[in-house]
Amino acid sequence: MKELLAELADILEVEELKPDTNFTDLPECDSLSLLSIIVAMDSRYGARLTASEIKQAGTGRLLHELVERRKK
Amino acid sequence: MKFVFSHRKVSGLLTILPAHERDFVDEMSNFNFPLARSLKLKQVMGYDKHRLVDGLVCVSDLVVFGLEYLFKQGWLGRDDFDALVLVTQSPDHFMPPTSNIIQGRLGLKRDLLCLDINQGCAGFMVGLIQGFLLLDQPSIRKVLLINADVLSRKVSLRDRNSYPLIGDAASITVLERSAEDAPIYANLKTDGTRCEALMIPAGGFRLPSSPETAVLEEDSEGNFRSKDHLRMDGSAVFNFVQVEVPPMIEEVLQMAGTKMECVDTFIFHQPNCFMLQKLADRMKVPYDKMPSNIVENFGNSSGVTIPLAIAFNLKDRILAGDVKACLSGFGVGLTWSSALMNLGPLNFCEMINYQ
Repeated sequence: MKELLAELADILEVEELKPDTNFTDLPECDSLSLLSIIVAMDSRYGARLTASEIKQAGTGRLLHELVERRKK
Repeated sequence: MKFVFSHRKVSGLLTILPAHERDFVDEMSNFNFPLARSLKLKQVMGYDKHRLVDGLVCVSDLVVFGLEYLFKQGWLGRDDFDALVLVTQSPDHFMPPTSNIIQGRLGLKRDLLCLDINQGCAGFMVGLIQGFLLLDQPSIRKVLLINADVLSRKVSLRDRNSYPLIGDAASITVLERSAEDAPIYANLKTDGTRCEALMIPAGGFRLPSSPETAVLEEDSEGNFRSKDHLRMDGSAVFNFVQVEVPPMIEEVLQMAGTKMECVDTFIFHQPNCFMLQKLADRMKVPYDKMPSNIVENFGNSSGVTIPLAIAFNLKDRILAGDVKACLSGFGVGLTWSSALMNLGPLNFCEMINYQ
């Protein structure tokens, strides 16, 4: 999960992201960031997610759980 | 759907771009987003310059301008072709067909089949398939495939999802029979259940334009658009392209019994450079074999991006000889299609500006 959080922080251009922070509230979480998250989750973990699934997960912890379930 | 054609070729290509150019940086203040985020968008998506019509310019204006240019240059005779297939989503009117308007404005012969096709991002592919089919008729010597759209007129100035990338353009492609029997392979797929991913909700017969449909509404991201405007679900379209396009390309290569490495160039519809680069990554195609420079220079002109990418990137090569090209268009409908064919040598390949 550490790796995924670092990846999210990088995309959202914040220094650090806590596992339970709702990243969808960040001003940097726009459609471009969501697209970048889709690509990162797919290319790094082989998990194909939609923008609405990522928004629904909302936090790094829940996104990590979702990715684990969807990994190929 | 699979298609195989033989004794067919593209023999000439002209693109027509509005001379009026706009700059994404100048437009950023129209959007309800922090400037830093818009600059990031510019960098990732490749938004920069785009060509838009200035005022009430219509599809037939761009096309008549282009055809008159071809006649004047002597590259095409007024009576040399027997079918005019126009692919557009921005007709001059609902009725009559814009292809008939073009025939009338230019005083072309009456022995001419005029056909309007409503298609967008896959419009070059659909037009190519239709044009090649028409060449089965001995009475049809040449088909003019015309792709043209002025969709910027239907995009909200305050929509950062669509406005920065929209472009207007037209292209005229000459299709004819070839003495050489190099087969052309094509495939096409349709999924109307996802038609709302790209649509203009109002203005047709289902929801006529009214003062209500003209009201600007804010979406969850801070974009303002009305029901009269074009709307695109960007991330749904992105997922659609990444999932559906690679297996379609595999299929067309299989039909031809060839491999990815044997293709000289991949000329794909260009929604933005990010989407194409991710597609290239997934398909393991080197970026230099898949040009993605159309949106940054001219904008996304739906069905015209493939002919623009050919004229802008391959002009010298296809005037001199032939190039083994894999073409693909995907989007509105949803519709996705691809073809594997030899392009060139062409009689002409030119880009002109509409003033």
